[in-house]
Amino acid sequence: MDQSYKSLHENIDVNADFSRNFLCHCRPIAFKRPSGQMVEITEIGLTHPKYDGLKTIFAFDVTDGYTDYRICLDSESLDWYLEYEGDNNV
Amino acid sequence: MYKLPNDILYVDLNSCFATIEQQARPLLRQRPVAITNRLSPNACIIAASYEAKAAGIKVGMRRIEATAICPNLVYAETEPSKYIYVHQKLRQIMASYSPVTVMKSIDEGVIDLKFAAAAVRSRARQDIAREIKARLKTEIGCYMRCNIGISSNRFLAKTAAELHKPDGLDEISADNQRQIFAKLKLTDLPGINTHMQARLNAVNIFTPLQLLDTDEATLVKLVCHSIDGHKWYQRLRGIEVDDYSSEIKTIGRQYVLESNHLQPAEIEARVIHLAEDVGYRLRSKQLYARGLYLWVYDRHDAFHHRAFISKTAFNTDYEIMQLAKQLFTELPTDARIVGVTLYKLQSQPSTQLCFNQPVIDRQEQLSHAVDQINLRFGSRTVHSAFTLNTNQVKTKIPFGSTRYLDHSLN
Repeated sequence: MDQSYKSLHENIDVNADFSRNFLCHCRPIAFKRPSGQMVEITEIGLTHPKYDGLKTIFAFDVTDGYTDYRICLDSESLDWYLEYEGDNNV
Repeated sequence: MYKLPNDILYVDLNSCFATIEQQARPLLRQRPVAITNRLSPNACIIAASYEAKAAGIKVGMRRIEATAICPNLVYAETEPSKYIYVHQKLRQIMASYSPVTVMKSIDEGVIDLKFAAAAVRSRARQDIAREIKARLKTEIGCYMRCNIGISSNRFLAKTAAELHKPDGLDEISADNQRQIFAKLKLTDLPGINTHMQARLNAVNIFTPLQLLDTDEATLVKLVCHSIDGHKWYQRLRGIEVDDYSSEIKTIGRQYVLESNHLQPAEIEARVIHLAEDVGYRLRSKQLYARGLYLWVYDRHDAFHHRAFISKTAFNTDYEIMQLAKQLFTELPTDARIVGVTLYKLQSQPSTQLCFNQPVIDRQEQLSHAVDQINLRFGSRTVHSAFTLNTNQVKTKIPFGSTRYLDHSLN
């Protein structure tokens, strides 16, 4: 079966901790989707930078224990967005 | 084996791409996962998690074949940015122990402690290895594991790294080499494939111990016919013979067409896309090429190729695309896989001026300007109009070579 994703690219509000001790100096704790759904992050799987020219986007692969999500921080605009939601039926 | 200091650490990430996917997506952990370049029915598996391997899945299997063996296999598509990030982190960790580290591929590398600071050299090798394993977990993620082999040369260190997968830590020294070799098959040794094994069998060498006990003259005369025989003799005794670096000889890309029903013009557009891509890679290494090689596998798996060698070196998109287009007209149009390779590379442009030198100069300036725009605003911000509809030709993982993975970490 395919590990498919629901591609979303929706803007989200994020609660995050900032500290020099974290990878990328930032750790998202929870985020709120435009629908009002609140997602509490239980684990950050991997944090990695993606490059769009000279712009860096930090991608956080996270889970709430039921579904995997990819949330991104645009380092130029400082906007957070939900890139996709994993298919949790797999 | 001679008694030499065990200064080589060989670090190898376990089932690299699958483990990174499982690290990124916690819900995939402890499950059979296969990584493919595309989620199409004919896609080939390029990496499998240990759970998948335990179920019988092998790298190179087609999806249909794999699903028949393991119906609950989860397929994930490759995401190069993640793998490049992990490669760079691994390289950073390794470089913190010695100034001489060599990445052998995207997921494995060598630390040469001969050149390390005295404080590092004085430490027990197994302590350093355990620290690297712990740092992988804290600096990348808790699911990351690696094999580390320790010995006096790259060959024996790699052999040690492959003894206990996953998460192994083994050392081969003069004291334990015979015991370890006694448990291995010839093909367990790096560099011995079934073809080489047949050559060794032909001279009554059936085990690694027999190979180790073969004298140098026999290896040279009967087995390897050349300097390779000397090298094998030294390699097996822990002397370093593999610490060479190779120059870039070719730059190429290939693409498996997404459909068997593409029109010739659509295939040509994909060839031009590949030509643009290899042109950018050529210029990024400040190189020029004199040869272009275009090849296709047709739908009946027959191989066709055409090559052109120019008297003058070139590196502009215009010249590369024109050559590719010209060669494409000489090849069959029922292609399944297409590839473009630049060869006869040189670091200087041709010194002889041409009649149309001002035109070539302008083309070089144009290619340089396009490269600068794409570096600033993202790849393919500006590209040839021929490739407007070829966005599916994504950059995939560079197996083997690590020469294009040096994007700096932010």
